[in-house]
Amino acid sequence: MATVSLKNVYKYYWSKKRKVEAVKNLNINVRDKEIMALLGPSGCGKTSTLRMIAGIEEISKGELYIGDELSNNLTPAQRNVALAFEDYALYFHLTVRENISLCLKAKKINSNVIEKKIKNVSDILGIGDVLDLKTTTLSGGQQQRVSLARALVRNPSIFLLDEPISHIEIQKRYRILAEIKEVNRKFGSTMLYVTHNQTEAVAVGARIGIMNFAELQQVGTRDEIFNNPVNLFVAGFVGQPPINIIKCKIISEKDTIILKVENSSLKFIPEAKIAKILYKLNLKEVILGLRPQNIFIKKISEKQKSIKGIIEVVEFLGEDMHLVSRNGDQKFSVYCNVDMGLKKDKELELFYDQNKLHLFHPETEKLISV
Amino acid sequence: MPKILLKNVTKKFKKVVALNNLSIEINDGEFFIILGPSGAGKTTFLNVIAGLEKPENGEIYFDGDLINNITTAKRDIALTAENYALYPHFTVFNNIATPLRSSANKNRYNTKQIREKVDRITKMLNINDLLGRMPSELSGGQKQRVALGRALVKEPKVLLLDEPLAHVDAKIRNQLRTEFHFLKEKFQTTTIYTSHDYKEAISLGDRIMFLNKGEIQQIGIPEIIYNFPKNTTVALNVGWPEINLFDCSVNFKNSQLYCPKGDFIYNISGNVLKYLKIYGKSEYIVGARPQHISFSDKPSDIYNLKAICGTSEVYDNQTVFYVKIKNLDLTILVNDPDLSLMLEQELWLGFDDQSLIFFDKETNENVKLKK
Repeated sequence: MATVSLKNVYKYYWSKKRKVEAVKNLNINVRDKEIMALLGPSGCGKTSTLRMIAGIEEISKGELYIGDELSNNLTPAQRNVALAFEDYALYFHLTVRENISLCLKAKKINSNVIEKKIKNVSDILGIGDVLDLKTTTLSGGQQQRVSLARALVRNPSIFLLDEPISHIEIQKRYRILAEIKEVNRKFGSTMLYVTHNQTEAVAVGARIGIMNFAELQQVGTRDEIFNNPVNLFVAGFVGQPPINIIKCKIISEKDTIILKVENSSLKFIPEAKIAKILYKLNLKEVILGLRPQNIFIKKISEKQKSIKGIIEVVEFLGEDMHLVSRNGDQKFSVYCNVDMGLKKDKELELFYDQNKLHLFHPETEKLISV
Repeated sequence: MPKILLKNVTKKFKKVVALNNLSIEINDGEFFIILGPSGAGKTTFLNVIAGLEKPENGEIYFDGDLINNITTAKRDIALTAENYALYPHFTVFNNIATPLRSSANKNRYNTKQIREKVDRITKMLNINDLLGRMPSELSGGQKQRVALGRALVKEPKVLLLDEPLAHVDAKIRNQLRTEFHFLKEKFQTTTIYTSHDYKEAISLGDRIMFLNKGEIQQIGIPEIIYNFPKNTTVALNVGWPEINLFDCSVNFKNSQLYCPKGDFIYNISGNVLKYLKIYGKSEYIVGARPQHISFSDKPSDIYNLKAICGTSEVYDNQTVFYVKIKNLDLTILVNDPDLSLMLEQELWLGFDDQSLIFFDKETNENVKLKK
């Protein structure tokens, strides 16, 4: 069983005699045959985590289990993990073919088998025509593909991928993501995929772990992270265009609670069960998050509530459209299908589902939920 | 009168032709985007207009005046470089004030005037609280705005922006792109902007020029570039995921398309048949955008092409998945993140034939745009 679990893991670095915590009390389990994406802004500790699992950084405190085996003291070679780096780490004096086959040769695998494997992996990654070139003559994107090929060809039980496609042209990236998933499916390998790019993380990961300031914020499926972000950071980090963050005043009106926006006529009505909690918490203000994808320009169910806005910007993006609307001083984004009838200055009635309003505590920034 | 006019401009670097016989008019106040892959000649184009490169052939006019022999300093342009090129030892204020203090500037400004001008521009760009900072203390997005401020402060006739959003994170890039819409409206300066990101181009451009290997492939408004790409190169580079392209032959008698790779026949409507007939050939490359292929789990009149489902990915709120009809691989995009598709599942596909794009098999040119 190729599982990876970290128990209360810490990583400290010493910088100018001061202790810097790169990873704080991390508990995470990568399941057998799962692709988990580890997502976070630069400096959040995600790469340190990956390097500790690989064995190229020491674990300052805590336990690492690969399968059922405590692996803190195993050498990188004993851990049977394959790595692909953002900065390639290729052997510059060797050809692409030699780079890819090196670890197979070291294991004394039959040369016919090696050839077959190289052909297979180079077809997948589109580097078949550069196999006999020195790696220095390749573009950044091609070098990254070679680095990925070298990891894939080993077919280990655990893959650690650190920003493996960040230098590949946007147009080609999604093809390679599909291939990574295909490798995972075909060979049943467990993968940890580190990236700062939320679109990539969501596309590749069966589950996504989100880190910030050395701490794990949330682990979950795309659905859980999009629809139940535990705090404002997670809500804002995942989703494109970014979630609308709107400061609201809590007003009691008759029996209900209304969320009013200052210097704007915007009003949001939370679900009754959330209203109850707001009432109990006795807050004056709350931070509301509403995803641009959850605002509709046509009413699609009777239960939907409406808000008004004037279009400030129409962004035609080919496959879809992004609108910036305004109501008083409050701007907010709307995401919709291509519709040629939308023009600047047009007044719109927009619709939202009450259960898609995410409310966060104004001080702790944690999700307020039932 | 066009603001900028280029007539038959050619620029070579030794034997490499960087710009091949370009003729183009750019209007006053226009936000003009040059879109193309790396090595297309985008930066060279800006440098030729800025006067940093001298073309071997052709004429360049600003407001009707030939300017081939006018130096960069006298052209009244501002150029921002891809890497911002801020002075690392100057504060934000001094970075922005530099062009006003330049000796090449006709009007010498006094300290008070400089302060007023810098204030005005930094307020518009929302960076007036950063004036005392050094470039090393700024984020990528902030550096970009400082570079813009420095370009705009002397109110140039023409603003040249070289990949202004290429070096910021994906997330900030999208935010800045939206912000450019506001800036564009505030300043209304004639702007030439290079990009390799089609979303940026079609979102921001009044018009777009698609450049590839030094040659103009197409010039047009965003909707035309997206919906009527001039050839397969433009079609492949504008749109995500990449457009599906496959060979087909038309049987005019039966009003049918035959695709050898997928070994299927597809009925097409009279109006499509008509323009193909006028075009006069029977072999085409057909382009189908991933969002224009629809599907169902049961066969019907509309969904009559049997396909096998491959892997799928969810990108934000969209699902991209891959299917196979015999040997033909297709990509499909749906605005639904909660699609439940099984691997190897049977699906029935239908093309909306009105949105199919036909390219000449020999020339790769869009049939509808033939002169």
